[in-house]
Amino acid sequence: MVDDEKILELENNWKRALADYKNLQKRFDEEKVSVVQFANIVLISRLVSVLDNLEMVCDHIDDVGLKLTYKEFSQILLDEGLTEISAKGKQFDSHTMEAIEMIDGEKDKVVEVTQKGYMLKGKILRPARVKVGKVKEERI
Amino acid sequence: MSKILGIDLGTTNSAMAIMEGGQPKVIPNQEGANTTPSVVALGSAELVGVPAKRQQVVNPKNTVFSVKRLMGSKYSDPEISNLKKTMPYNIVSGTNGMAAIDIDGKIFTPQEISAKILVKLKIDAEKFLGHSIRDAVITVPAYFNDAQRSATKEAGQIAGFDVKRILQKKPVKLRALM
Repeated sequence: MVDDEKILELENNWKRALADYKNLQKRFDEEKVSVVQFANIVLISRLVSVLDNLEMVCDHIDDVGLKLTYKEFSQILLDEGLTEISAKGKQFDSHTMEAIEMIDGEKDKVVEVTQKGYMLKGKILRPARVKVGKVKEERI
Repeated sequence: MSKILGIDLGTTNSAMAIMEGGQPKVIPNQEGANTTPSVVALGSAELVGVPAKRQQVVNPKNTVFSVKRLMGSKYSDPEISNLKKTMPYNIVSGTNGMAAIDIDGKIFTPQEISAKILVKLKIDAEKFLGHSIRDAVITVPAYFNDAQRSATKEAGQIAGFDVKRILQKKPVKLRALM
């Protein structure tokens, strides 16, 4: 004969498994939406460094073909939902920016952007790496 | 049936997990990462995790990291003297001569700082799971003494957890207890 303790244990295990299944189903539905929305996130985050390099090359080489390629490439990423984080001159915001150094300038304002930051459909893909202003120390 | 949250409260990063279908599952934080930096910024704005880490350079005196190294330690301990030399934040002697942190004249215990990390993990886990969590098990390194283990438990309680067990990391037996 099965004792009450065993029945209780089996019932608890059954309830736990059922709750786990319901949670899993709910999360699976949420993840499905997220996967569709951010399917390209890994690829785009890798392409962003290519965009950086292309931009740097454009700054140093004056070539029409190169500039057209850069423009087309950035437009494709733009169409996919990529937006640049506007940082220069703005108040430092640690949710979208990463401070790497403090330099002379207006206090807590972004003086220099060392690496552009990007968002993908409202999600931070990469924070902007910035140098933040501090009040100039007077030397005696 | 409420879940028990398994927390690895680390010196550098923290992580959390639950048991699901008999298997452990790591829960991502709100930012979508499996680990959360154990960094807390205090002062004008309170930040925990990634945002706190990103502003460390501009706000070094008010950004607390590696607080686990202060947990349950006396201010007079030789290790604290060494930390005082390297940490940008101000380590002071708190109640009963325990190591504490002075942020803009306000004294915080390491437990209170750790609790802020635990609160963030709790909120993120609740958001992910869709229900509230009260019970937790927290891991500590095997070398932690009684005072350090007790301080970790206190941090969990400040964060609003019912700390079921403080586990030694080696070997981690989260699975058996959840």
